[in-house]
Amino acid sequence: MITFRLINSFFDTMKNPLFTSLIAICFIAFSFIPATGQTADDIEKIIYKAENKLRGKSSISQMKITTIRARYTREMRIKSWTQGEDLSLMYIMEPDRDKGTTYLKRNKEIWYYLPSIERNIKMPPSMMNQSWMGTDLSNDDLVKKTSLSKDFDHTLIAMESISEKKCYHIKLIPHENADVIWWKIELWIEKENFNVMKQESFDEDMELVNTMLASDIKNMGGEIIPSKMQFFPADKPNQKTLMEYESIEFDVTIPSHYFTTQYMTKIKA
Amino acid sequence: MNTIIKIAWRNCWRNPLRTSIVILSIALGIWSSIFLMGFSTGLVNQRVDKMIHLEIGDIQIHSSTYDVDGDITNSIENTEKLLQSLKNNEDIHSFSSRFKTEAYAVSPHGQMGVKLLGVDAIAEQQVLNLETRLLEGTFLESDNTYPILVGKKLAEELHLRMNSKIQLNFTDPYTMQVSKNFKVCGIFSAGNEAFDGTTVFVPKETIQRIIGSVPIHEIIIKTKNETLADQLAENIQQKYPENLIESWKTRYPEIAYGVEMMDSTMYILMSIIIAALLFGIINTLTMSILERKKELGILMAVGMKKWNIRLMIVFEYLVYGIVGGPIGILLGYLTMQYFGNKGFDLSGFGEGLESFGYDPMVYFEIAPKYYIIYTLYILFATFIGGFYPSRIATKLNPIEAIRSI
Amino acid sequence: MLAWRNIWRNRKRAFLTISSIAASLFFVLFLRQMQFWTYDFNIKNTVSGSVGYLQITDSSYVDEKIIDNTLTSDQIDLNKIKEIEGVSGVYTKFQSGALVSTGLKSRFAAVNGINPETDNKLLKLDRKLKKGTLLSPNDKAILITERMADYYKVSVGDTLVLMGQGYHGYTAAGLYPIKGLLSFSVGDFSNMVFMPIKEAQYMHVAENRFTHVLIDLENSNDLLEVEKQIQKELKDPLLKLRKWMEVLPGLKQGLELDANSGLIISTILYMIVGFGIFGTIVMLYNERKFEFGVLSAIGTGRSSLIFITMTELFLLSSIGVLFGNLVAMPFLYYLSNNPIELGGEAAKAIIDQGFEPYLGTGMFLDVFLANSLAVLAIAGVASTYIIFKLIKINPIESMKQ
Repeated sequence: MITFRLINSFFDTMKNPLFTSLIAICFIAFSFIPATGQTADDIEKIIYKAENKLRGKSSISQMKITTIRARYTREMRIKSWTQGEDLSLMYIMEPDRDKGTTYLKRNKEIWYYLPSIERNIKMPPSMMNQSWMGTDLSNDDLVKKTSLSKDFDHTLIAMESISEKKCYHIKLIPHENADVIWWKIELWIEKENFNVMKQESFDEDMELVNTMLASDIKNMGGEIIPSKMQFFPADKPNQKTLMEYESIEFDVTIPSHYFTTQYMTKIKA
Repeated sequence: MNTIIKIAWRNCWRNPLRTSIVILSIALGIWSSIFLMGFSTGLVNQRVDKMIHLEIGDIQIHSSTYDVDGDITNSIENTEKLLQSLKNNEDIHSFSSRFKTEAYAVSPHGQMGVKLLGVDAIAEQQVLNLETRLLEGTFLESDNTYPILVGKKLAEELHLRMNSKIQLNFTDPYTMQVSKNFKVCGIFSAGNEAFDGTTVFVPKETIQRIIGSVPIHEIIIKTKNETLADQLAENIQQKYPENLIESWKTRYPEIAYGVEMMDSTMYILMSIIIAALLFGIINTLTMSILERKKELGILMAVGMKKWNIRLMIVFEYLVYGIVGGPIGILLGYLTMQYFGNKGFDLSGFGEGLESFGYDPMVYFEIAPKYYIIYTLYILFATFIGGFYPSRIATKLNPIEAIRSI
Repeated sequence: MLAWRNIWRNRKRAFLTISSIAASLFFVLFLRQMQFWTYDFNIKNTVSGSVGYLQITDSSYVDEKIIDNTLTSDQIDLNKIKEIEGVSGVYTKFQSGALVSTGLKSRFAAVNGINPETDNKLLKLDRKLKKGTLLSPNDKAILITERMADYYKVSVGDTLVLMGQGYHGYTAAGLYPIKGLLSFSVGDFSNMVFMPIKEAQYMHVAENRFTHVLIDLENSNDLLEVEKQIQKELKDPLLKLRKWMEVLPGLKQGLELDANSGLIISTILYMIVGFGIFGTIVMLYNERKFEFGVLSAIGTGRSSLIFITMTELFLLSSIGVLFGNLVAMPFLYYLSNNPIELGGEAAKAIIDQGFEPYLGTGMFLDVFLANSLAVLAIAGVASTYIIFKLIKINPIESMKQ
């Protein structure tokens, strides 16, 4: 699971608000469960399927991440290797100035490699809420795991269409003791393939704080998944981050030494 | 001698106006000195007091490496033994041992770096009076499984209210990342933005539950007698050299600085005021001598010796002093009582005061010795000041004096 | 005319009155000028070099202090601003935050891009340097605090990695040797890194960009006037000009607290001084009771008596006020240029706080005027007592001894 946070400042980290939302970026295995007559159990199953669609799978992918701000737009191309949920390696191919910057997530640790200074740096916990590579995602978003199916009470609100796909619109209220900062999450899970098409996160006053919107469902690497995802905060209309998968392969063997700090310094992908 | 005294006495009352002016000048001088001293002392003491009794305690104990490396593993050495000896120490009123670590507090509306304190609510409330500053809720008395007490500033920044969720993230002693939701059970306002914005309290049991142990990083102590804090700190330090035991003055010299600054400034201001007062008194007295030229001339003409005249004048001044002094003291005392209880309201400037840790109400305080000091000071000054006029008196030429208009 | 002669008939008496008023004014001026000077001085100490009396930033920078919200020197003509009357300095700044790391040990710190030629003195870095040397403009090195050196277990000559958020999302990164260690005792500043502004800009992929432009003034009284002038030069709508109190509202409140305590003290002084003047003038009347009685008896109209006396008093007061100002001026002037240096523990603590332990007096024109008028007014009020008495004058009573 990748959780997603919006970051507004780097310098004044102590003071500026962070927007956080839980998002299931999920890749669902093809499923035959018919979407009729929903009981609470069924709904939980739906969410479970959505959450676990690609859990445990390894993948090698190439994506384009566009950060849109009021005054500029920035594009990055990244190659990424993931093994399950605990290991992930990202290598920046473009733009030139950042080329070679590598990011390694190993269980709960995050490391950066900066080619310009040829050094590895371990990210301290205090920086976890900082923006990842200048996007609307934080370091923490790429590390934290949540369990939407377990920690919440679910209610089916309606069937709605998102990006021309029929979706279950589900309301989730976290359990009393769940370690979730949101007070409500709304998910739109696509019926056919259990892709999360939209997710909205709400605060104490039930006001929308941020949104994730997925689109362009394609067959990629053998799975039917959305190839585009947008993340945007509710109070900053000019700002969003766009993630597009250019290519992705699943169930590949990745040598375990890839996920080491030594390897970070050597990648020449 | 007696005659002179009698004459002196009568002289004073012959011209009630003059006499009352001088007496009032003296009283005013004394009163204003007391007023100013009470004001500034009250102001500074309250600030210091507040910090000590709301935020830091008289004495703080940390491990000797804590300040450099505020790591969660830097707990106090020999905790058990130390705590035991503190319990048996007669000069200690109360103490509270705390778990302390840096954490990140996250809410849907933001994040802030905070100091997470795991405390025993009862012990903590004995050392600090924070419960008197609760705006809402309780000091960790709650049915919530994960209650947390936050400051007003933090609540504002993160949009928190009673029962709001707040997530705390920190690293445990085994370098594992902990992330846990807490529910706000109380909001306090210590009057210091820095403190209110960065300090959060949770029960020790909660820490125990989350990480399995409660390392102690800080012990705060309230002594029975504040003035002995330094000495006491030293005593304990000698017995436990492996830890760092400091009185608040050592650890937070900037507070002591505030006191010193006030003292120096007051000193200079008092000097100006007393100089002004003195000048006024000398002036009035000299004027009064001039006014009495004729009468003095006559006295000299009928044979009163010069030094007798001087003596007479001196006695007059004594009278002024003896009457003026007590009046000044009385007025000063009453003012102290009044403002000492009701407080002097500075709330016109209230906003910024809070963030500097000042209360808008200043309760005057003064060490009793100052009553005596200022009175003596002013009387002495008056006496010296009376010297010149009395000299003039003796320099008069009786004949000219009588002739003058 | 008569009034004038009256005054000089009795030298001593006149002298006493004048000196009473003059001295009162002297003390009052001394106190008030000192208070105003301190107020100014405190502002200067806090604001100069750090926040500036006035500050120009990108308008978005006010809410979000990120490198994206920086300005370039193309957006504003700094030379024009330097020329504005009252401006004592224009400084460009680049401030940011970054992860400072040895590789394993990483912590967040503030990054201060400085112009060594001006900032070494302005920020008192020369005094705070405890080890190593200060920066030169073209260095690719940093200064860190002693606290940080202890934490990372490094010293002069070792290198640290700095990593942060650059302009437009670029990663800002660099490897820098430590050129010197600074001693900053106040908690807030214990995690601060200084580097030459050029290098800071380069590191953040923000060449020629600044986070702030600070403007220092010779005299804080010129604040509003200079603000107006600068505003005229600011043609770019993306820029915002702010006064120090807008940037640090807490400071203004704190200083006002001081000022208001000062007001209370001044009031007390005025009470004392007023009383003194009152006493002197009353004694003046008393002394001449006989004379007034005679004049009244021989037929001088009450109104003429009053008129003459009033004129006398007015003249005396005016001379007194004039004298007060004249005598005070040399002292005030001297102290405003050579403030007293405070010593002892208090001084040490003050220096630690980043302040200067001085006490001086100002030469503020409005203080001279306001207080002169106030003292005149007091004398005037005291005089009304005399008028009152003169109106009721009974020649026979007053001639009785």
